Amino acid sequence: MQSAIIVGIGKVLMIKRLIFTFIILGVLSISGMPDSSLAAANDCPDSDLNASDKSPLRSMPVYDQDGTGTCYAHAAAEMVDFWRLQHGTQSTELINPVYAAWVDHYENRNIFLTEKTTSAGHCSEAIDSLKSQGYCKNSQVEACLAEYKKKGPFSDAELVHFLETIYENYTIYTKENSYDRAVRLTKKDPWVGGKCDSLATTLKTKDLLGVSATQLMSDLFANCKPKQSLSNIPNPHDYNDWTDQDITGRIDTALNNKAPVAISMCSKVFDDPKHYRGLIGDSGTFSNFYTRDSSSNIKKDCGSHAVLITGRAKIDGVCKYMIRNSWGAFWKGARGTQCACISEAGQYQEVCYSSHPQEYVGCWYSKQDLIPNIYKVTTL
Amino acid sequence: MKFLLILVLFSPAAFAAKAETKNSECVDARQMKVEGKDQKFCWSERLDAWITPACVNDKVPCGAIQLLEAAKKYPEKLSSEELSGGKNPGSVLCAKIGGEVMFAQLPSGSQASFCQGADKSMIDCNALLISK
Repeated sequence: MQSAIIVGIGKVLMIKRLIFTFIILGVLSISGMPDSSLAAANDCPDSDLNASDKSPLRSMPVYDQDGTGTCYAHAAAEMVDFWRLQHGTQSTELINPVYAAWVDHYENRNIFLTEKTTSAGHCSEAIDSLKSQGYCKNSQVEACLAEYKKKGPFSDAELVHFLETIYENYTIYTKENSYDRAVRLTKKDPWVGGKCDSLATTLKTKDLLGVSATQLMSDLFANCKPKQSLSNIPNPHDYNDWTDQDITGRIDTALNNKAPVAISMCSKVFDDPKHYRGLIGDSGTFSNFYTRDSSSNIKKDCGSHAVLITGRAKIDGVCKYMIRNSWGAFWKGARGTQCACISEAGQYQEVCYSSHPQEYVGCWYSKQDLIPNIYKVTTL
Repeated sequence: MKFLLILVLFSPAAFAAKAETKNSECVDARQMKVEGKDQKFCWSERLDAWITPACVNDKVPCGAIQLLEAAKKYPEKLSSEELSGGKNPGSVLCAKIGGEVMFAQLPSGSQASFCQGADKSMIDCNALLISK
């Protein structure tokens, strides 16, 4: 009896020891799993779409939208061109962003006679417009604009801005002569001034002003034939997920698939990345009433802008996204911002060490600074 | 000994002179097309800008330098309405301070906007922005 009890106790002790051993082994195996270290390494895997010499981005110029409000059209043109080049399009004729803006304007004409302005728009709508209308070769667009530029001493930027502004100022709902009113208001614009009188006269002579933007575009791009089809481009998708985590997931999925993503964001973050937050809503808070891109969720001083994200990397221990902007090849953000560039020697530098490279191709912003300033993501 | 003394006395001056020369020199020259015409620009370390070569040292009056000074002193922040549609703030600022925006194309095909003064000298619009 006693021996049976002893054996029983011994068995219990052995079982307890075995259980204890398994627990210890389990804890060791969990702590031994490279979860924290690997997770830390994997939470920001490198994906720089500019790095390869064969990247479509290396064949695409850095644009400068200048004083025109056509960021959405620039982002749309670049998204479509990246896809075309990545999928083997032989032609090196890229989509002219100015044309993309005007196609979107034409496509989305307001039926109540108030023409939609090209100043401010949506990247996905511009892509849809390009898909349905096709595009002109860049060389043809430049030739068309050159034709108008012969009519006066103005730059490309001034021409586009003039056309944009005069249509913004045109309305039939006025006691004053509609045309005279549009020209008078346009002359007040500091960027156009009185320089475009000759063009305004030309428009009046052709009886284009006040008819429709479509007729203006027909005249502007009369020599743009035949149009190139873009029907095979995938449909764009907009995402305005409420949480920062979901928006981050959209961006990361695109980059993991070696594709850029267009974002609608608050450009004010470029002035003060560490502190500025353009979205009002609490990230992580579910709301029945608002979407992330609701105007009531975006601060008034946001500076709405559309750009591309073309890279992700851990720099100095911080996970960062690369922004490809349309503010020209010398844009490098506020002082101290790290940017990627093509050096004087023609080499790609993920973090530029030259003070005067050939051109900057994008600037890095930390995930934690950028995500709270993004209110929409567009993918192809 | 005399030689060492001369070296110690004059080398800082030599370094300072070299630095000043560098600051006033065109450390890098680039050709860009502005409105279809070739224009030469110099990189100025001192100004952190691409600028018309004649303006690199400020010994002669220069419209581009005056624009840079005007940008630094411009009191107001650009409003979100002025920047709607993602307008390049450097370009908007150029127009506000009385400059004329000119479009340049780099040899790669990339674009950059420049601000032109009354004397036709130019400075890149991004330099106006950074100066603020």
